Amino acid sequence: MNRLWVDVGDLFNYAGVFRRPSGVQRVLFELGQALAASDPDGARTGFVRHGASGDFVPVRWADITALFAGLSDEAPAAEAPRARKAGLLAQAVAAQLAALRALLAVPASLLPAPSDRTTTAAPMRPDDMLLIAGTGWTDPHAVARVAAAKARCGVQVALLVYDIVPLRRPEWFNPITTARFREWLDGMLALSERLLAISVATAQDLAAYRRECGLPDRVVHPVRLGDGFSDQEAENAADPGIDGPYALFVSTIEIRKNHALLVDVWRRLIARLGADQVPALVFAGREGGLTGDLLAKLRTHGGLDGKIILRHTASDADIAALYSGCAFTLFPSLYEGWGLPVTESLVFGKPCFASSATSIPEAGGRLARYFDPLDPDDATRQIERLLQDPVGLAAWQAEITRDFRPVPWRHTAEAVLAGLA
Amino acid sequence: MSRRIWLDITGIHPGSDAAVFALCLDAALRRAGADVQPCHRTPGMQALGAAELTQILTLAADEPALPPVLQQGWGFGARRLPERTRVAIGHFLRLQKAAMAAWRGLARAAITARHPEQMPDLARPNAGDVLLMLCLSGDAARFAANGVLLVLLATDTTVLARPEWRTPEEVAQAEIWRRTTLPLVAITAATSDEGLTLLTQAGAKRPILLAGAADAIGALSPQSTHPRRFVLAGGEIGEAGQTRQLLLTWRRLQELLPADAVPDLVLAGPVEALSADVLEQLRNSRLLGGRARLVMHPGAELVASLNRDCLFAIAPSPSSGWGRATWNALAAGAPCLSVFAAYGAVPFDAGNAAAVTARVRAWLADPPARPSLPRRDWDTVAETLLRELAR
Repeated sequence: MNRLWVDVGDLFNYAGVFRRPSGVQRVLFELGQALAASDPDGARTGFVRHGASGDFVPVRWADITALFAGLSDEAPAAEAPRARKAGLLAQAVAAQLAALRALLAVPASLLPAPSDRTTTAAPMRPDDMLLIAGTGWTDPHAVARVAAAKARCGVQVALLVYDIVPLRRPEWFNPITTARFREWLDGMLALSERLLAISVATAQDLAAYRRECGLPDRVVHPVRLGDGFSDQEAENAADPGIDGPYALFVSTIEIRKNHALLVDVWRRLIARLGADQVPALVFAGREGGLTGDLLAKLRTHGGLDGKIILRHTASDADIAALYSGCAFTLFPSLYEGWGLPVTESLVFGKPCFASSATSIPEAGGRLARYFDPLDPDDATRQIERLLQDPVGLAAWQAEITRDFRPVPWRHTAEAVLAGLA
Repeated sequence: MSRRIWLDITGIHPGSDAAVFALCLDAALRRAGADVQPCHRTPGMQALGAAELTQILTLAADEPALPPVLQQGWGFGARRLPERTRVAIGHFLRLQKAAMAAWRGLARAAITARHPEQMPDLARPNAGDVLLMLCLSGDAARFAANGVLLVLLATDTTVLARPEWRTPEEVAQAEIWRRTTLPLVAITAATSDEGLTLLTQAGAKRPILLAGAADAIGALSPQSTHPRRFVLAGGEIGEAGQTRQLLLTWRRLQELLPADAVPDLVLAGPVEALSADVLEQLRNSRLLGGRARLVMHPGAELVASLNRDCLFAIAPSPSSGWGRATWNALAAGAPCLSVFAAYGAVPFDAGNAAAVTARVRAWLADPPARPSLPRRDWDTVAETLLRELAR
C-alpha cells in the first residue's frame, strides 16, 4: 500500500444537520486523529470528503478537527417536556418549534460547504487504499462514488464494518433503511479488497453474511477500538444533580438497547427489596425509535414512582458527571457491533453490568459482568446481590481502577494499518 | 327480578370472544326470565334490538394481512438533492411528524373532554336499573348519579395490577370505575382468585365471582388455513400481551434451531393499548421473515380452529379475561403454556423470553398430550349473575 485515504465525508454530511456526534462519528474522528498523528506530514495518510462533482476530494486534518470541535450539543429536538404537569399544549408547541428549527436548516444545507468548492479529485493511485469507515448506507451515491474512484484510478478499497444489525434484526429499522443498508453493504462487499470489523462478533457476522450471499470466504480482520474519547473529561465532571445513589444506562433510548428489560428488573427489585433499598435508575440519551410505548408506560406510572429518571438532553459534560456520580452502570442491549458504553464505563472507573449478547463481552472483558438480555430473573438476581453487598461493589470498582488499561486509539490505528497491509 | 338489565356492549370488537360472551349471556339471561335491554354508548346511550345486537357483534372482523409496507424511498427529484439536504429534510419530516402527533393528542384530549355534553342519550336507564358493562370504556359513571346500579364485568384487573401497561386515560377511568361500580368477576373460577384479591385490595365495591364462560366457541370449528405447523399465541397484542417477548423468543429460537425446526408463530388477538411499537416491529421484519402471522381481532370461529390446529398454544397475557385464551386453547384440545395455572395449563413467566424459549424448545422436542375439558353451562352463569344482582 502506497498511501491510505480515509473517507471522512460522513462527518461533513452529519455536521450539516446534527450538532452532536454519535458513536460512528466519534470512532471515525478518533481513528482519523490517531492516523494523522502517526503521519504528521501526511505522506502516508490522506483524508477525503465528497466533492460536488461526485469525486473524492482531499481535506486537511485541521479542517476536520475544526469541524468536529464545532459539533457541540444539539439543541433538544422533539424532546418536548414529558412530565404530565407540562401539559399536552407545551409538548405540542415544543415539538413544533423543534420541527421549525429543523426546517430552517434545510435551505442552509443547500449552500455548498467550503470544501465543496475544491474541484480537484484526490490523487489516488492503484497502489493506494481507500478506507470507508462511515455510515455510507445513508448516502444513496456512496457505492457509485467508490466504484467511480476505483474505475478512474484503480484505487483499492477497504471497508470497516460496525455491525450488520439491520440485516439480522430488520424489525428494529424502517424497511427503507434496511433495504438501503443491504444495497450499500452488498455493493461495498463487491468493491472491497480488504474487510475490517470493529469486533470479533461483527467479523463473524459479516463472514456468515458473505456465506449466505454465496460470496467466497474472505478474511475479516477484527480491529479493537480505542477506549474513551479525547473530548471526555472524567476529572472535571460537575455535580450530576441527582439525590441519592443511582445506576446509569447511557444510550439512545431505542428498542434495540432494551431499556424495557431494566424497567422490568427495577420493578422486580422494588417488589423484592422495597423502594428504599433500590437506587434510582437514570436513562441518559436521546429518544430513538420504537420506544413510544415504553415511554408512555413510564409516564403512566411516573417512572416507577420516580425511580426511573430520564435525561434526554444530557450534554457530554452531563454524561461525564453522571458517570462520575453513579454507583454502577448497566448496558442490557440486545445486539451491538462493539459496546462503547461498556468501555466508557470502565474508562470512568465504574463497574458495568452488561448484556452477554453479541460483541458486548469483548468490549467489557473480565472487568464487566454479564447477564442474558432476555432474562430479567438473571439480571434481577445479579443486581440484587450487588445492592446487598456494598463491600463487593467497592472491591469490583477497585479492581477496575487497578486493572483497567484503556486501549489507546493509536493501537486501533496500528491494527487498521496491519489489517490493510 | 323486575328491574331492567341494560347489557352494554360498548368497546367490544365484533366476532371476538367478548362478543360471543355477550350473545350467550344475553340469551341465557332472557331464558332465565330477566328483562334485558342491549345497548351501547357512542358516547350517547342507544338501545339495541336483538337483531341489531347480533349484527353488531358478529360482523366479520378478521384482519389477516398487514397494511402494505411503504416501498418507495426518495423520488427521482429528491435523489438529485445534496445528501446533507436530504438528511436535513428527513430530520425535519421526522420532527414534524412528532409535532403533528402532539397536536393530534391535544385535539383528541379537547374533543374527548367535550363529547359527553355534545352527544345526547337516546335511551336512559331508570333509577334502580342495572347497567351491565361488558367492557371498561367511556363515561358510564354519569348514570350512577341517577340511581342506576353500575356493574362491570371485570374480565381482568390489569389496569390495577400493571397500570403501566394501560394508557393514562384507562387508568383514570379505572379509578372512577373502582369508586362507582360493582364489579362482577368473570370467566373462570380457577383463574380469578388473583383478580378478586386485587379488586378487594383496591377497595372495589363487592367483587363477585361469575365463573364459566366462552364455552360456545368450541362448537364452531372450520379448518384453519395456515400452511405450516405453528404455535398459537392467544390473547391481546401489545405491552400487556407480552408480544415483544414473543418476538424476542422467536428470534432466539431462529438462532438456536435449524430453520425447519422452528414452527411459525401465529399471533391472534385483539390489538390493545401500547401496541404501536410491536406492530411496527412486525411490519419492519415482514412478520419475522415470513415465519409469523398476525390476526388482529380474530373471530371466535377462527380462534377455535387455530387452537385446534396448532402444535400448542401460548397464553402470555395476564389481562386476557383471566384466562380466556387459556380456556379457549384447552377447550379446543391444545396444550397451553399459560400465565395462569388452571385446568392443566402449564404456568410460565411470560415476561422472561429466555425462560419462554426454554419451554418452547422443550415442548417442540417432546410434545405434550392434548388435554380435554368439561363443558360449561351458560344458564348457570346467568343464574349466578341474577342471584348476585338481587342481593
